[in-house]
Amino acid sequence: MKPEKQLTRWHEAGIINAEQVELLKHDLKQQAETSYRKNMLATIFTIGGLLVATGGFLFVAANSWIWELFNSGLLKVGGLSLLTFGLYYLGYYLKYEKKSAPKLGETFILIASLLIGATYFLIVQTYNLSISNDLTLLAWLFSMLPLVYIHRLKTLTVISTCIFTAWQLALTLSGAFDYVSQFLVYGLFFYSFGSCHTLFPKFSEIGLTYKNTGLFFVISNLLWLTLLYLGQLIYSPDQGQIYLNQSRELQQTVQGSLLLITSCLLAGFYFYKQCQQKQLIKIEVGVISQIILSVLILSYNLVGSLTGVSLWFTMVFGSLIFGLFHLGFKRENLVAVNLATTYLMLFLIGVYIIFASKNMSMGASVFVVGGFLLMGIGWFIEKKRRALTKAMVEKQQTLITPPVEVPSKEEEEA
Amino acid sequence: MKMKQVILTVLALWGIGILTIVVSQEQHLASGKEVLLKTVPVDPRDLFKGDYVTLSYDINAIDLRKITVDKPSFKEGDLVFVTLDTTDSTHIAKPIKFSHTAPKGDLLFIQGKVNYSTEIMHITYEDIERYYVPEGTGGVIEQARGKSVLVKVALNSEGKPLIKQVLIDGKPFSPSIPRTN
Repeated sequence: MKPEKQLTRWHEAGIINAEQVELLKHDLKQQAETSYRKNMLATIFTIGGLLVATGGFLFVAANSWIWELFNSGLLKVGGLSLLTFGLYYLGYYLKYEKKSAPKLGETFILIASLLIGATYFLIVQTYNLSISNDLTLLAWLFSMLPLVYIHRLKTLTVISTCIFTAWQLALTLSGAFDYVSQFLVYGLFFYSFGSCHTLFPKFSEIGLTYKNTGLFFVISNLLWLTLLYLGQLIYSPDQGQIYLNQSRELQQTVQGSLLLITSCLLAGFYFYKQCQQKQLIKIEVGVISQIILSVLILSYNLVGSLTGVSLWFTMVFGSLIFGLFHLGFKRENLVAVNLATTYLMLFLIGVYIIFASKNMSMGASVFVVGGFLLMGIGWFIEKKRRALTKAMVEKQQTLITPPVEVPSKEEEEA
Repeated sequence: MKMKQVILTVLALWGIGILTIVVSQEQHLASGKEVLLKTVPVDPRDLFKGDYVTLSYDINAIDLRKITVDKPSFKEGDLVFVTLDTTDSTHIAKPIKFSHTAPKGDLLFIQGKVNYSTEIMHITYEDIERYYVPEGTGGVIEQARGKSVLVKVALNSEGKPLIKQVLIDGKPFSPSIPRTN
């Protein structure tokens, strides 16, 4: 409910008078205006900083003739390094020491965190080194991660996730990974990495960004895989089976390591958290275990049949959607509910297109049977809920019944 | 630790990382033995590092029947050392020996990796197969295919190569001369 409406309700209930309502409304309006100005300023500075840094990257990539003026690789790299270091220190000075222009200081820190990457690419370019883009991106990521934790700025956190994604993309494009399960592993890793941050309240904002990024990659990849195998099953089961039989073992060190680290992080995190939120944790562990198993199924072709794999992925996708709805309603988290609804709609549209272009009568049966099944589940849950409510009411009535009066010490003595 | 100390630590770490790489490359270029290699260039673009010329050398493919080999068996990814001779009139390096270990003495040799091997051994030489050029100037090297394109390479004590200069018809490549569209 909007605060203004809340104030009116309190006024109508006689909790506050008209003068207080006006005062509070005026205060709220001022707060909103200040917050708008601050956010607008931050946005302008951030966009400006991003443009400057992008220009820096393009300048490096263009390998402009201006570089020739430096006449030596050492001077080129030294020049850009000094500029990066200087901007970072200036940012620190403005934000923390002088405190006169904190937003501008943050922008300088942002530019420095990006230019350190440009410096690495310049080194590779200057000395014609055979270091691949993925390794350079990884070096950049490791260099900017300390900044994420020192300054705890949202923009730096988001940029670090972008670099991590770019690293994964560069690895996939270089052919080092099987693209089918790559982003599932990556999403899981990011989700678990983010989850662990919630143990430290100081870094919970960072953790939330990483967790959401991970969730986005996992759910998108699962949707794609579910529709891919379902589509293959309907359109060309023979070819789909051949494709499935090409075992994609987790030979790659990075992918295997990421999955191992993910499992360890999750096991540690959930072991620690278990006592606090038992039910939600159980559901989360259940869904994540299914996803880890899905990666293994794909990598080692554990199921063997295309029908089995299609069913498995549909079930895992369904579990994730259910888990999100549950989390959304339990914690009144509207983002989770909206995310689950959007992906459920995308899934339904995908399934409709698959059936509509190949086998409409079968599609109709699937939708009708699925719909009735869901209604049945709904009816069962509703019945359970009523029974639970009835039990709770009965329990409350028992508690409300006045207790037997016990004479006090004084009464007994008298 | 105070914020200022943390910031200075980060800056110091960045500086040490960059200096380590740059100084080692500069030292390599300054103290490495120079050698001329014959090449054929082509011209693509990298998203982050810009235009470059892919350099393919005569010594990328070596006929094993024509040179001395220490052991006949090589597999993909093996580290190999090619001993070079620059005593002829052109001073362009030519392979004379092929070995699994670095040659001893004052011999000139280059380190590479086996790509695949038949009677002709195909070798890749990391760090000298790409030459980054200013935007739009890669064509200058590529168009010089009919001419003599040579690469002056610095070899360190392990035989690792690093490009020092690209020579077109004996003159150093300069991006300020004819540009392509």
